Amino acid sequence: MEPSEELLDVAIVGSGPAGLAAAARAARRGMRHLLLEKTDHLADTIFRYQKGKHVMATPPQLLLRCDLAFEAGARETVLARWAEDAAAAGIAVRHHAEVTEISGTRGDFTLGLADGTRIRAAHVVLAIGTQGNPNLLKIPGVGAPGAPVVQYTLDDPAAFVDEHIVVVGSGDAGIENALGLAADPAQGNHVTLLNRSADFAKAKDANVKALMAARDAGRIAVLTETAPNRLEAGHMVVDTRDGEARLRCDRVIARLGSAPPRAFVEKAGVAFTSAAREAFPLLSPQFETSVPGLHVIGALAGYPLIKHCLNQGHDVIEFIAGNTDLRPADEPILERVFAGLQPARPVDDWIAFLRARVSIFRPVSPLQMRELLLDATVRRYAAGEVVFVKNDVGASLFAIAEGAVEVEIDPGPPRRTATIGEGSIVGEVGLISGRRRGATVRAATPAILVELPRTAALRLIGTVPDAGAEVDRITTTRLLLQIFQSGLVAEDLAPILETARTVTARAGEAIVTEGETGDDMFVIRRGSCTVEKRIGGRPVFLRYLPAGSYFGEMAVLDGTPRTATVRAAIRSELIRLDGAAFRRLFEARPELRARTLAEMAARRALNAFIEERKDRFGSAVDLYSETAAFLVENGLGEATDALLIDERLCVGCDNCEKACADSHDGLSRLDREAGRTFAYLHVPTSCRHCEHPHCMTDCPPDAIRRGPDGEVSINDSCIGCGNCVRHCPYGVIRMDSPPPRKPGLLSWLLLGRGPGPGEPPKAWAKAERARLRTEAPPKKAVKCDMCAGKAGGPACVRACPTGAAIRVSPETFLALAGRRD
Amino acid sequence: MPPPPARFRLRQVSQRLAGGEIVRERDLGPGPVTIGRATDCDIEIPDLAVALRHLMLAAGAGGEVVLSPEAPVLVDGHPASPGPLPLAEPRTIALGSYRLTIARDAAEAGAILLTLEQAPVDRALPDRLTPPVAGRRTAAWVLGLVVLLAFLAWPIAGFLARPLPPTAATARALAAEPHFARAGPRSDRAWLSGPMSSAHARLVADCKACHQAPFESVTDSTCRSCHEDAHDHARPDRLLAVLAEPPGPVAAARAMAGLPPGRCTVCHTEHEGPKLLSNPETSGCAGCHRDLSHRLSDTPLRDAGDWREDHPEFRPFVVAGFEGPRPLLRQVPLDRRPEDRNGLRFSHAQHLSAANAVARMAQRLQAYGRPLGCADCHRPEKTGPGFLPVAMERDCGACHSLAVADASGRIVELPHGKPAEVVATLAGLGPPVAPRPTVAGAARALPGAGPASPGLAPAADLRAAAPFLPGGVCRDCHEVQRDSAQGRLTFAIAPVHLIGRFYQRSQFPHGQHKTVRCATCHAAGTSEQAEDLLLPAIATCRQCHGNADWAARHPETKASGACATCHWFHPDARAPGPDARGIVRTARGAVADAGRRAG
Amino acid sequence: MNAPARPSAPSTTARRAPQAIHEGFLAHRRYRWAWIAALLAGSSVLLYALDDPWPRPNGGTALGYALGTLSAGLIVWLSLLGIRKRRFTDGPWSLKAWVSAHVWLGLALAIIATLHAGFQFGWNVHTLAWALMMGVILSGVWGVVLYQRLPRQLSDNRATASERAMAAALAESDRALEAAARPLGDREAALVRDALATPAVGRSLGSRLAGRVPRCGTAAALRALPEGDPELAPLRDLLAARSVLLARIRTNARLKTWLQVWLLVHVPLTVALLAALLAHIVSVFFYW
Repeated sequence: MEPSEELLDVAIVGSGPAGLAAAARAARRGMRHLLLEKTDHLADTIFRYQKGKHVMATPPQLLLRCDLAFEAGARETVLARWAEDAAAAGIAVRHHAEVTEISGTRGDFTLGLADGTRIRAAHVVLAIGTQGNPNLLKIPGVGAPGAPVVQYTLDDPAAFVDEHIVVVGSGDAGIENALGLAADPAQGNHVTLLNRSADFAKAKDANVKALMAARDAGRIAVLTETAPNRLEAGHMVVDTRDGEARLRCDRVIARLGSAPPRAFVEKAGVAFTSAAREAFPLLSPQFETSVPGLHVIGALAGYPLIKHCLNQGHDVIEFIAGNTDLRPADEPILERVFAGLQPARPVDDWIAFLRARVSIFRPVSPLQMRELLLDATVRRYAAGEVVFVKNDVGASLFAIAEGAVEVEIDPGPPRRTATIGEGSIVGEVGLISGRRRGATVRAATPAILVELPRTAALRLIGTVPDAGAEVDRITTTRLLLQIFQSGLVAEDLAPILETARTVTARAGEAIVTEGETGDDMFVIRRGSCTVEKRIGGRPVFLRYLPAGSYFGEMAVLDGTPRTATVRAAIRSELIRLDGAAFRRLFEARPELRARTLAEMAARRALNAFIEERKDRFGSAVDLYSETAAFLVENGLGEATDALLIDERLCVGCDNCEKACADSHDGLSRLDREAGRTFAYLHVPTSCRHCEHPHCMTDCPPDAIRRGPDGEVSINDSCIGCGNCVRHCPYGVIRMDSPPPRKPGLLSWLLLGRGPGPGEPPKAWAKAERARLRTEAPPKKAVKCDMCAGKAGGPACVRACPTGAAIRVSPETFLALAGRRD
Repeated sequence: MPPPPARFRLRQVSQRLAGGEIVRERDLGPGPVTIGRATDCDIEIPDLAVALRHLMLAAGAGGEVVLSPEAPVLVDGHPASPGPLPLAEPRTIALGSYRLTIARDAAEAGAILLTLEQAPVDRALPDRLTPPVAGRRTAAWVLGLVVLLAFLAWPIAGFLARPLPPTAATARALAAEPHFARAGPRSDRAWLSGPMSSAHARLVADCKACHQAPFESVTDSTCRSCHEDAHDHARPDRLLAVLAEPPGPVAAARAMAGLPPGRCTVCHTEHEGPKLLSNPETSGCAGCHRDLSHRLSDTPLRDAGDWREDHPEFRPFVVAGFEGPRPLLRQVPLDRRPEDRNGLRFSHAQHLSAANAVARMAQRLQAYGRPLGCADCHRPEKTGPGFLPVAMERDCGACHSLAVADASGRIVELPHGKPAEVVATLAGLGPPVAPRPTVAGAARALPGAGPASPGLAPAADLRAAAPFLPGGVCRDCHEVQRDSAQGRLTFAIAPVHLIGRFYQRSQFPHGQHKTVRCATCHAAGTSEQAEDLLLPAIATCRQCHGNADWAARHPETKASGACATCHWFHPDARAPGPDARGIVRTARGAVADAGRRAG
Repeated sequence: MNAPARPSAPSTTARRAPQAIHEGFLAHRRYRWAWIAALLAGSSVLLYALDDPWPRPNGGTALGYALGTLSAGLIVWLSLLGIRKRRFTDGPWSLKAWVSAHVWLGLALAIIATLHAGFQFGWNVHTLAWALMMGVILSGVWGVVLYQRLPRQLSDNRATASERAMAAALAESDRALEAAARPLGDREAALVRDALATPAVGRSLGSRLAGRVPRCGTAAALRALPEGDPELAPLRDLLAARSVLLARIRTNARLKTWLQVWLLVHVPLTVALLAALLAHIVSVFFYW
């Protein structure tokens, strides 16, 4: 086709849910349109979901307003339905059309395609998502005849047999691909993984462990500090530390990450909200970018949810078509959100009001605000009205849009309160851990408060980096005020907070080292640390620091070398505060330093005490220290309630597992045998109910909650996405489907009929294994719920006949380590 | 033109882990094809069950395959020998876990298709290396059922199969058999809760003889079907009144279980060893008698509990006087120093003296030859624990002769106890009486002769009255009442009643106390009066009986403090007293009777 | 200011009594059940000593019936542990407390039931029930002793590996041996095949209790392979490693089997005891 001189009404780039919905709307409206898709199929992102994956339709309250039908279901069903609807709408689509450049402005855009075609359109809708394009393998020989095939995705590892395959890339994708290709020896593949660096820092621990196991088993060759050099017929030449090497190679799978589409979008002249890597394009309420006529919708606009995308596709075409009266689909919902506020004002006004007043909302675009507010509650509080009560269950975040609240620090007498003013937030402590409220909060004056549910708040922090930074700033300020109580005010801290930087530490990494000089102070934001001291050449465990703790303050105060080593117990995030800024503060106000020193005497006394007793620490302390270290290493440090088995008492009856299974539809949530043992102390594979549960990190339906007793459990809204399974570092979440009913206990006890207590039916288990070989994994995540709601507490402990199984909280597990003989 | 040499093609099928197959095809050329574990074989089979070089296949001229095995080979399950292998239909060679199928290739004429497949291997790791120890349930069932059958079902079946015992008479007859056994299974032996009493020992093989109905305690009527002549211990209503248990949980439980008090089996417990059938211990009697007055408000019996502590003083029957000729008996406790007004004049002291005239006389008399002792007058019963009643003729007559000369000078024997005849005899009116032979060598003054002067013949009247008159022979022992209304020669002797049994409830077994001198208990040597009651008080008995010190020093005596030492519950026929009719025979008596019957 | 630096966890500490250390079932709650059992047995002995029934103490006296009822109740209750420990979900109970009570009351039962019998024994169903009961109690004592001693050995033997890890190591050893033997001669292959075919754990109870497998192919192969041959050295090394692994697996199996085998006595005897108890009670009242 000749470079089209025809001016389209609208060119839609990307055929994901947003682009597809836009194209369908344009087709229905009879606009001249063209849907440009880089691959040979529609909706590539969803197309590339694993087979049978359940596609969700969230948020549930949002009305769907588009020409494509969509409801939650299997990936195949969803895709088939869209293909059907797209055909019915008469969408004009061009496959293999990769847009490389966009130029022009409203009324006259020119889109350059990779194949050289140029397309003109009056309006452009960019719906290209955030995936971007994979980084290409740029070495000589790629694409040469006879050279190995190079591919950037791997759809079905089972498709390759008897091949020499080199996987380039040391991220999770590369490792997973390599493992998949080598999983079945029957395929006879020779898989080699290349890694430029010496370690796999970018990959998840579980993947690295699996890779190393496969390497040790001889299934995968792993070459570190090796980079591809060139491709030759049937071979790849690589640069190793020791020089060039030639590898047999039939196929290269390059997983080198992808370049975010920002550069491409910016090239078209689109401005972004900020310079942050994760920032979104600056958009008008009509999704129009800073380039008139160029619209951005979907994930690229900050809306990863399919429902949003579909609606935006519909809306953007309506806007382009001049339907300015169109209210966003969420308008009625948002009207209800603001319905309680007087005087009545339009939704947009309220949004502007909130953005103007509340610091964490400032970096949020109006569109994002709309989405955020869908789940929010906005209401007015009378002076003195209770917002929440101490020990309440609740993990929502409150933003103060007007007025002030007071936090009851001590119910007294004398009653001590602290006031938090307009624009700030309250209730952020439980946000990550989902813990109970730490204090009672009342409205100090008549106030308007925005309550963001946990997921919405986490989404805000996760997707709007500046908002996250603001939350960090507020929490750190509060923490510092609490540490340096003596007359410090928030203004004093402002210069220090300027210096705050987030540091990530891998498990076991030393953050400060004993004897070293350094005066930075650290606040643990996420994860936990251990404090140890070298005594007689051996590290002695001193203390466990959970998230929210701080350390390094002594060096700040008196400039002495570090008195102990602090290591990250698990992968942790810390806020590093510059010591120099502190010193300037103390130099300016010496009386502050003196008072702070006096108040911190306790911590110093402990160190002095240990110093003084150095010689008396013997093997008992070693064992204590090692046991404590073992427990911390096994995640008990971040646990709130973990199962521990004393192997000196455990007779291996598996009653704990059976009881667990029996209490939970026949599926045990604990694996007694698995897990590690030290000094007869066994940490079975069972949920630790972490302080900051990893599994809660990314649960799309927000099905994982912390219950009233601190238990982290998964409710029925689980959609089986498997995110929690992947996030849990301890492997305690499993995907499984519940077995059918089984006969009564007496019938088993007397006659041996049916499965025993705590066992799934044999036939079912067999069928289930057979099914798993051919079908996708079952649909529910199961994990320990601490037997919430069951009288008497966790069944595993109650069912232990010998007292070997106990559950411990971090307050007690170190005592446990200390009391062992 | 000969057909082109056949070609071999290999089709290797392997199983994917996730299910499904991977098929690899390879052309092996015209052969011959070597097959084995070695890597240089044309077809390498990685199975240790396969030899390094296992076999060779070559194409035969006629389209068949020539087999040259180097190790034993099974073709279609049969051992194969070297030679051609026709391929009319596919042939299968088993090689370890692999299966090699040889067939003509349908796709290519003349080609031979070798299909190598591995039998499915379960690569799944076992869940556990140690399977749980099984067999508990089976063992439990077997043991439980064995116990239930052998010790519950079988005994009950035996019980049901066994007929009820025959009527009482037959039962008795059967019981007399030395080896009592009735026909029928003896399956309930395992239920025997303890060894049988000796009396019932023969019943050991026949539980149903007594336990006649399931879940029903042995009834009194069952006992009585053999023990026909057994009496009640007391009137049934009295017994029940006594045995009624005080209200409480035990009584309530018994009532609920249908176990009325007062049944034979309450005291006569069985299955407690060969000896014990009745309750001989203090507690058995004292069970009722300790507080009998509380249980039976109208009982004449005193409460008696422990022998040493709680036993009333003995209360012998004594003669309190006479009403006409009838003695008035009265029970008086010994501590009230009762007098036995038996109507005699007698001094034990005089008779037992070693030095007085009585002693001299006895020394002279051949029958005694020494001063008198207790046994000279008190003779033990032949059968029985007591003494025969003192008889005038036998026990006193040797000295106190009643032979006198009558009016005609004949020596006559006065009839003792018949005053009218005495008078008649002495008056010569009565029939002549042969003089009773007196104790040999008796040279004693005849009655009445002593005070009378020899030459003086008293008047007949006087003569006849002489024994009755003061100094007369009668008055030695009796009071004489002159009955004036009847005329001059009418005399009456004051009535005499010697008590044969002082105690109604007990009988003293003198025979068992032979080692004890009479005087130890009976203070006869100092008794001047016939009214003196010479019975020992309870304190005397307690010196030995129930005295632990004494028993320890004299274990051979078996001096027990048990009730049955002195009492049997059922006094025998000789028991005196007005109440004897209400008292049943002793258990011992019953046993003795039964023994006699059996013998 | 919102909350302390360390979010306090009132839920976890206030809700459950602090139970920082492991406490075995014998010592449960400072030997609570041992005291109760001692009290029960002691008062039974005292009552027995004070009671002076005619003609002698036995099951038929008031105290005898009382002790008998208590014993029968105890037996039934104690045997209900088998059901209790499998009914996981109903009610706020702790199996450890039940086991503690089971053990201590079971010991007291030996005394109470013997007093019930009044030391009267004979060849009858009554003594059978008593003997079975003593058998059950003795096997239970044996079990308690095993429970006290073996877990530690089990843990020591297993070190840090789990049974599944041992199975995986064995599978890996299988694979390595097979691979090592593949190029070797037919004799070596046959030896290795025998080694692979020998079960890791004996099938019979006897061999499991002994922790040995008769005619172990691995040991046989080690004996049969000459030591000096450098070509066979890798195979020998693999076999030696395998035999160490097998020894560990078999010790594990032996200890686990011992931990269970006493139940093979205890449970069937308990059922027989219940049957004998029923026969005893029925017989006593059948022939009242």
